[in-house]
Amino acid sequence: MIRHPAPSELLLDYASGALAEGPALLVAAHLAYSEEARADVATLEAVAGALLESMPAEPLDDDALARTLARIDAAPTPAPEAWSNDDAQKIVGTAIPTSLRQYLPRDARWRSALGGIEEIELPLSDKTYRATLMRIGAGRGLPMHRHAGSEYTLVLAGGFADGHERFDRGDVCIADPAVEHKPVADADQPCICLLVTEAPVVLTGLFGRLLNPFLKR
Amino acid sequence: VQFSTEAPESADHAAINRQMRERIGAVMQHLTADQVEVLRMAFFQDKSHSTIAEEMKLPLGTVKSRIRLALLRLREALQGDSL
Repeated sequence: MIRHPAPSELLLDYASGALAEGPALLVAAHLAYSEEARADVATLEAVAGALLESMPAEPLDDDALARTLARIDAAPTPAPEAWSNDDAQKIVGTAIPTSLRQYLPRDARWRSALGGIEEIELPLSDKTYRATLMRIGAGRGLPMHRHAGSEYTLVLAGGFADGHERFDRGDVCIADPAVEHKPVADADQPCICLLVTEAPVVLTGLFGRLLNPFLKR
Repeated sequence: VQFSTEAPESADHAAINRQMRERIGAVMQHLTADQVEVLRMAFFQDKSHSTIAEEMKLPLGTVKSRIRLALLRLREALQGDSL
């Protein structure tokens, strides 16, 4: 049972195709963990079908075909050689959903980032978001930070607490620019997350402010 | 953007979807006009919930709660259906 499922409006944006690649990837991965979220997306897709059937037939815009074809062309194509589940698990340290494996680069390995954190970037075609796998050592925390844009986190292994609530495997944590938080990984094992950020993270507090100039977008 | 989920598509899946759509049509009678309007804008105008809030000049929280309540009602109605 997932205690922090993706909120309904995020599932609706996903089901309608309105989500950008980064958050859509996070929702796709979340669906692998949450039966409820899968059922909700199926329900919303059925709603779209029912609404369509209830609508009077209307002439399509002249450019409807061109727009549809453009959307098909723009859809992300899976990597030609997606990782096998076993190989991905060896690299990442935990099994990850197929949707994420397709984004795992061929030369994927954990790289040290700030303060005991390690990262593997998952390159997105849409650069308005950045997607990374992040590993926080057991009992370690991120510096206190707030966000210039939205930040979405999906827990893939272990868990963390952010001072307000606990998040475990499959849980989604959404932080908007108003939220200032300090996630700390559980003491008994590292926490592995998918992190999708809209804009650079802004560190607050003295230590964080000193680090700001070194943070990459 | 949407990705295929873990479960493979199958003919059964399509049939279940069709059945579900028919049930949903009936269940949607339980939704308010406001809730249906938000769903319609999402699916037929490709709008995100935040864009819908802007265009309808509604607070974001109002649109979110319409979506949450709509989904809650649909869930309840579907569960009631299958009992």
